[in-house]
Amino acid sequence: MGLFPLKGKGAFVTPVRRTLAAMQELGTRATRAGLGSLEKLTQSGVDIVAPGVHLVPRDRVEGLLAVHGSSKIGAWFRFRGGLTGTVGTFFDDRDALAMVDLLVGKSPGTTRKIGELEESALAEMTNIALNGALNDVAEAYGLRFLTEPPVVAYGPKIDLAGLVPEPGAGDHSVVVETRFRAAGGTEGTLLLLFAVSGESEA
Amino acid sequence: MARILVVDDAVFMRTILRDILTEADHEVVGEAATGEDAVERFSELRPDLVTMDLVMPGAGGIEALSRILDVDPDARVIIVSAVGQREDVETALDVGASDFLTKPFDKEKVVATVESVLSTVTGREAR
Repeated sequence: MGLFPLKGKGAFVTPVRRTLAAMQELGTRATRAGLGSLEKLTQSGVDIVAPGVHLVPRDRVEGLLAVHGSSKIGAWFRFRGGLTGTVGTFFDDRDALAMVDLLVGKSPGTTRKIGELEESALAEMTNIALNGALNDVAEAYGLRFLTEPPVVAYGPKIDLAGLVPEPGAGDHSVVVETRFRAAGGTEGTLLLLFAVSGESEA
Repeated sequence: MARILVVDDAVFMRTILRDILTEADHEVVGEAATGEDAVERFSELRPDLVTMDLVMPGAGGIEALSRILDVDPDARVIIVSAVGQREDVETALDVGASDFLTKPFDKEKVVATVESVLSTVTGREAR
């Protein structure tokens, strides 16, 4: 099935249900590509633990993402172009340290704290994995994305409102959250958030 | 051995590239984290080759590439970026990049690309 609602540079004006179906397909593709990049970066297999797709009105996105406010560390960046949105990764304390070990090729348990280099590793991992996802979607659907440099934040400083697409980008958001597991049981969440415009089917 | 300037806003990526290039017997003579800094460092160091990220705070990689080529039209610049959409590659090559590597990359691919670009004869060398 193609991405039928696309008109010009990503104008989604469709019934909500059709938008969700199309975005599920796009989100699944992007997630697979993102995790594929992560496998290459960590040189190990990455499995999906729990996928989830939600279509929510813009004003409820922040509430849906509240669970990530308790993460140890989050890294994300905004994109615009064929679609507008935010993509990112989130890790709990132990998993953030373990992911750094994987990225720098150190034995598990080597990294004890997140300093400048470790923070940069997690940001760059997010940058590479999720640009990989957007590159794949761009190629498959003939879209073009312009991305920003990643932002990193810790725990309570994670600005959940900053993850919500800007007003005007769309009145709904499709949120694709995928809990994944890398080598050594290291878990994290891959988030893809696309702004869409939808009409109710009432 | 070539003298190389590594440009990337991520210290993690600069460290990885430095390790790969040093292991391949090249000398990383400088690093830069922004496009503006890259142009300044290039003018000051005159390296044999530059690896250049695309998306950075401030001036991005394309603008820095263009300004470096204003300083030295024979400059060899390899774009190394996570952003690898067709338009990005075409734009970079049109502006004058010597090659384009998409992250994540293999160490062998980086070394091979660097060697390939270094082996090309520039206009100045031909004269």
